[in-house]
Amino acid sequence: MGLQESELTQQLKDESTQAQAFTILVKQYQEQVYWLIRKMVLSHDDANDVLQNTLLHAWNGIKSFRGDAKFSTWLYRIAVNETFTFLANAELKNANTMTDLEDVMVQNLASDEYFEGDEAQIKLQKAILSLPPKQRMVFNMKYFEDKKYEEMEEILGTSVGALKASYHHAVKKIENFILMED
Amino acid sequence: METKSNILDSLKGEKNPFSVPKGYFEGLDPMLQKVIESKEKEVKEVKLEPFYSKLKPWLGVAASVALLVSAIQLISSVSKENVEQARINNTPEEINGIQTKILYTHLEDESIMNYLLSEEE
Repeated sequence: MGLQESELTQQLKDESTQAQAFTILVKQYQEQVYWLIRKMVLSHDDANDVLQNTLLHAWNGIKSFRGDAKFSTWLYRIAVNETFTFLANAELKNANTMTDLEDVMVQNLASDEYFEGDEAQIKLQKAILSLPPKQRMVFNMKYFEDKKYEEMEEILGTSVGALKASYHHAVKKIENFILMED
Repeated sequence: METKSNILDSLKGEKNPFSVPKGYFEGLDPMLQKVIESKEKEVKEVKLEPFYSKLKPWLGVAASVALLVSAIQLISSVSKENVEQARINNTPEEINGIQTKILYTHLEDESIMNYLLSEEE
């Protein structure tokens, strides 16, 4: 039987065991973290880059992990920040062009070899992209990953009430967007 | 016809349209290893830095001293070499002349002028 998360997080504080504990913990959550990033950036290559930056920042800042939050929550928080940073940089790079970043992302998605969605799925992604990044993150966490609002509160630093309202409005916007496109 | 209440529900039930290259998650180990090694390398570099930065100001001083010592040694070795060479090839008078010439190169112009003026008197 493997080590419990509490034991592993204790081992993170000891320099002689932290690399091994970090590896075990990351392996438990890397797939979930990848999908959170991927649903935000859409392209696999970009998601891979953001995941790598997330792991790099997590490992470099391992001393700041005090263990009062779950390791997964801490890792998700870093992934969320890295994703927002990536999107902000992409927005800056795209600023000189006539096309919106969201339109570029949808166009790329349609020709992405790692996207097998039909027209309805592309329309859904287009609708999700019409949301501001933070609301998109809230929507993705709830809709695709079915995360609890309490966990989302810890990751995003937003109150449960505000998250519920944000998700509710996001659903309305997306439904309206899809109906208008039809 | 789709209604507001069932659009998202119907799409949610569908298969994840996103995919990853074959074996992607299984192949993440090298990336994780690289991440861990990058910090170990960084720590080694950081540990070296204080030693180097403490030494840095003294390196300049040491280089200046070494340059000065080398310059002095070079001048004296050239002088000695000339005298030694002359001892082999030249007569005692010529040796004396060479020694005087070498000596003069170390004298300041003012001293030479004083010497010449005193001889004229």
